[in-house]
Amino acid sequence: MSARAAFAAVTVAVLAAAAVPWSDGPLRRLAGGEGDGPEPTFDVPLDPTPLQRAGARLPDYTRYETSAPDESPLVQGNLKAAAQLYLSRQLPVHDAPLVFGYRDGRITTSISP
Amino acid sequence: MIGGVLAVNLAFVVAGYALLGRRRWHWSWAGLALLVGAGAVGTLVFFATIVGLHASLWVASLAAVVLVALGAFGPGNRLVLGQRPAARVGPLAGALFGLVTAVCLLGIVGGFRSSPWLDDAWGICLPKGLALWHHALDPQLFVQNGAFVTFGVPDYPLWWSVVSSLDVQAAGDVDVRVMCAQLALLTAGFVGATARLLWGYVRPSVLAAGLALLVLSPELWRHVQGGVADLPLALYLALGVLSGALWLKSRAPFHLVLAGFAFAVALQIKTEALPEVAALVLVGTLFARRLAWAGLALLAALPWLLWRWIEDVPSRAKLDFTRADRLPDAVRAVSEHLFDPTEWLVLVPAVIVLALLARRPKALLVPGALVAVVLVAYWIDRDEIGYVLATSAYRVIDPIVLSAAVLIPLLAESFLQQREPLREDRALVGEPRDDRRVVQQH
Repeated sequence: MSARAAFAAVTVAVLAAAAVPWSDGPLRRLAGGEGDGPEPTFDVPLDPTPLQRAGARLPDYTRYETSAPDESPLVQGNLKAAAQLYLSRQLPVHDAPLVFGYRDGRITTSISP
Repeated sequence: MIGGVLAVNLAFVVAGYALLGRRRWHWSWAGLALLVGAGAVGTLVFFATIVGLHASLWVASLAAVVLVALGAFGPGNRLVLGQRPAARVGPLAGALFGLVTAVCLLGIVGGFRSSPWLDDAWGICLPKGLALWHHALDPQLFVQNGAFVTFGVPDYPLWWSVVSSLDVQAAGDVDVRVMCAQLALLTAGFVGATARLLWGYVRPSVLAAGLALLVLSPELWRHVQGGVADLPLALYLALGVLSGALWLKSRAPFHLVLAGFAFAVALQIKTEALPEVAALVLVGTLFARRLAWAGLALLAALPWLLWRWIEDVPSRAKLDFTRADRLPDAVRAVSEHLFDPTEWLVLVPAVIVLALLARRPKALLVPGALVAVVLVAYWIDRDEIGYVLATSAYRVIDPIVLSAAVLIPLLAESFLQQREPLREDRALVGEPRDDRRVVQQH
């Protein structure tokens, strides 16, 4: 067997093994398993849809605040990071009328006068 | 998303080929062209943000055009390599190269389908890059103050944030999978670059086996799918180590320039690159004083250090050498990750054994210097040692492992040569004088 033939045979065999639908071995995991969506893998239950919508709708440089004082540091961290990810055109501040909060895995929005 | 990321990387490859020079316009240099292009464009855009520009696709395009122009008339065309004798590839080596290729292809597919599992990736690195796109390097967002909510780890340089941001912009939407896709492409490019650079210096079977050992390591692709910045740092540091090692054999300026370039890019990725590059250059000078020229790369750290000094962004690390009791825990954790066969197979034990068998123990100074930097970093760190080890020890060792991985084929070849000194194919691995013949290499 020539080197080219061996190269082709092994390449095809490995790719085919990974493509077997019922296999759950390391090759399939290497290829991403079932696959993930475009959103982050949050450490806590969190639906980022309201943040995505706000990021698209709010004008540039709009100031906003995230607040979840009764939640764990993990929730607070994920909320802050998700807001910075989806509201990158806007500006995160410590004190703003527009506040994104968190309750039971959902993002809440409130605007104080 | 796929088209956008591929388009960005195609631009990287074009810029990389231009910088490598016409002598290397061949498909076999594509992996190195990707690493060079991504490194150069990312670094220029990062520097552009320091002087107030936005990290946009426009600025990146301008940077790529400048680099292509520089490459067309620049020194890359004059950096020649000695011709290496054509190596005969046997069926076993062919099969192993097939395995390496297939694993890399699957790794790329997996990268495009994976959302980074490390929250620092999507929660800090990428948001920083998006802020650089919309607001440039605005100190209000990047330096702690009382009014704005700022990003974590403000002392970290921003190459990985910039490159991820360019991918998101090209993708057209916030899709965090771009980070894993980009890392997968860079990792596959690194494998290709390593193969290209070592071709002719080691026999194909040794090269293929060394690459197979690397790509079959579970932790390599787990880090790709994590989006961790430690991996690109490791890729560029290992590329610098490999280039420096090859320069010792070839004395070709191309290898020395490439080593300096790779170190310069590494400095734009994470803060620990500064002591790591300094340590590697120091080790290099123990092999040949002229390797100190690679230390010029350290100048590339100045723009970011200057910005931090102006904006008063301190380093997170404090020089507190009184807490030596942290060292035993650090040594234990780092060793466990380095030698755990379920993480990096036997890459680190292999480099140790081969260095001793080949009677080249000095080569162990390379991974040894990186281990020393990591341990000192844990020693002087302020955070609780158990926490910081659990959350970082598994990934800060990436530069150690990948630097060891690129040395394995060279040490194995050296060992085989010593065992078979009269083999006809000794010419394959050559002597330094062979490389001084200035002939184009493809």
